Amino acid sequence: MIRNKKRVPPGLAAGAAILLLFLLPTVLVPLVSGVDPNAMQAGAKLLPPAAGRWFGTDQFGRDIFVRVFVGAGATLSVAAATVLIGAFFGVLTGAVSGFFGGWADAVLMRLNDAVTAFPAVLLALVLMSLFSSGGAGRLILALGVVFIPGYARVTRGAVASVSARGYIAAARSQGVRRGRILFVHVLPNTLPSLLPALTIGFNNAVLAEAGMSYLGVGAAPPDASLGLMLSEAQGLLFSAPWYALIVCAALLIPVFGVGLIGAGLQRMGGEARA
Amino acid sequence: MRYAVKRVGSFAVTMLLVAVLTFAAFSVVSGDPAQRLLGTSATPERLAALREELGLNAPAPERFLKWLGGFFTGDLGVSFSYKQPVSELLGSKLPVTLTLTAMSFLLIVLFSFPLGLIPSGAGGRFIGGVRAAFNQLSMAAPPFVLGVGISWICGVVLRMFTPGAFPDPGTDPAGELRYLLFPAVSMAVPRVAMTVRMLRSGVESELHKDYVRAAAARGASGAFILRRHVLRNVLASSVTFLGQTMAEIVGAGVVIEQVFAVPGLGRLLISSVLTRDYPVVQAAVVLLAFWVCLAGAAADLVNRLADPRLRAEHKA
Repeated sequence: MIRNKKRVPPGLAAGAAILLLFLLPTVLVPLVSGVDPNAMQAGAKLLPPAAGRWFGTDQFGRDIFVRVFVGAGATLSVAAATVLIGAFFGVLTGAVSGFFGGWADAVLMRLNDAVTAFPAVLLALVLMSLFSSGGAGRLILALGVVFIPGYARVTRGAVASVSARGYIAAARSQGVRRGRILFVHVLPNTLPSLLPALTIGFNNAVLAEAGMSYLGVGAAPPDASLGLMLSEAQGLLFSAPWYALIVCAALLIPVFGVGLIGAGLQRMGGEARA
Repeated sequence: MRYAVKRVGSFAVTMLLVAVLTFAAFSVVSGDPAQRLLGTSATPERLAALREELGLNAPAPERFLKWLGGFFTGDLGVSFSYKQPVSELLGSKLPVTLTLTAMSFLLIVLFSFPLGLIPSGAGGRFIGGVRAAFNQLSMAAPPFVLGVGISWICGVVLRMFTPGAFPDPGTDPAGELRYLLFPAVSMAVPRVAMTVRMLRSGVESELHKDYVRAAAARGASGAFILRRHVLRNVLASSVTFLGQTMAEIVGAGVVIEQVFAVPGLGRLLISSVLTRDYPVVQAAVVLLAFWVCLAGAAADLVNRLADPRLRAEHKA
């Protein structure tokens, strides 16, 4: 990768700032608030936002401010784990497929086509109902599998295009081992196209986790998760509309921030290639 | 024509693959359906009798063929939790889901094409602003968050409908359509934004091609070039995108039906996943996958008819 004086696009900086501003309370609030996010208070149900309980309380009298950040932490960490699994196996299969080609490529890509023909929600639901037990791990595994094909396809394309460059031919002609060419020369140079895909994947994973939890097949009560909270809040739209709006905002802010980062990275990658 | 036969063939192969995988996966996890149907207190004799009746003693390939045939004959087994034939359950939910999907698809086509094909200059800043706002929305808002937002704004604040009060099936078709409009819009908005972006970049890249400059040099008006040359080229490539859109809305519909409490296939699927009602889950999954693959195949075929370049490539 060329590391000359590249200007950081303003969108990327703004996105990073938004994400950081959101992550800070997500990490800190559960640590310093001293409030148990699952503690119920019979006398304090559905109180509107006020001093001391900034986002009000839910139908069990739990503090929404604390729960939103605890829930966001749960949602974001499941999403991150999902991306790690999906990206690891996706990049591996995509790289092998794009670099070596041949029958392995043909088989992997047909399999890929078959899986991507399914809507992601449907596939995740099938996988969730197949895995019989295992809480959050089950969801991470199911979503991770769902995201493998996307990463495989992006990696395959990037690896194929990098492999066609002159310096790869030069390395080959010097008799560098193929494995070394792939991991030292090709893969690092696919980063400009892989990084934006990772950010998009992360956002999809956040929304997928929230979606599955919303449907009741992800996180289980009483644990806080943004999807689960949104489904609770939806039932309270008439009596406590702020609850749903706060949860929606908590879901959209990090996604928006990461989206800006992704768009910025894409622009930087495009400039690097140009 | 040869292409059509090939495409239908590959559609059939994909569906067969989906059916085999679904059947195999659920056969492994579902345990003994007879036990599930009769409960734990059943006597061994009754279990054996029911197993014989359901054909569970036959080898797996035979059971698979019988199940696959069930999509044509209507015998897809019995639901564990409703104790009702699966085909009856699915049949009663299908019309609502198809209506919802069709409405959403129609909305997407109706809104994205005018918005996407008006060149950025035309319409002034207002349309440009609408477009930019849409794009922002598409980046951040998934259908189910939008759905909750729409239920709040249209249902609670503006009182245009009562969220959760879907009319009893069959009693009030107009009311059903009116209710379905809100979930259909929630599903359509992000997809409209994506389609608009796709169309815009398509138009943009076509406008920079030589044939457009040549037409302009001949004195053709901008509107004529757009209508006669650019649109035809852009439309051909957008057909495939619309095929993918169908897959997206089927997926989004599963969630949206839950958001708006629409008694459709998606809601049945979710509740069946939660209660481990495997006969229903596997049939619903294959049905939804069928719909998605059908849309993909149809898009490819239409594309082929509309775009002579693809036919030429194939011959070469």
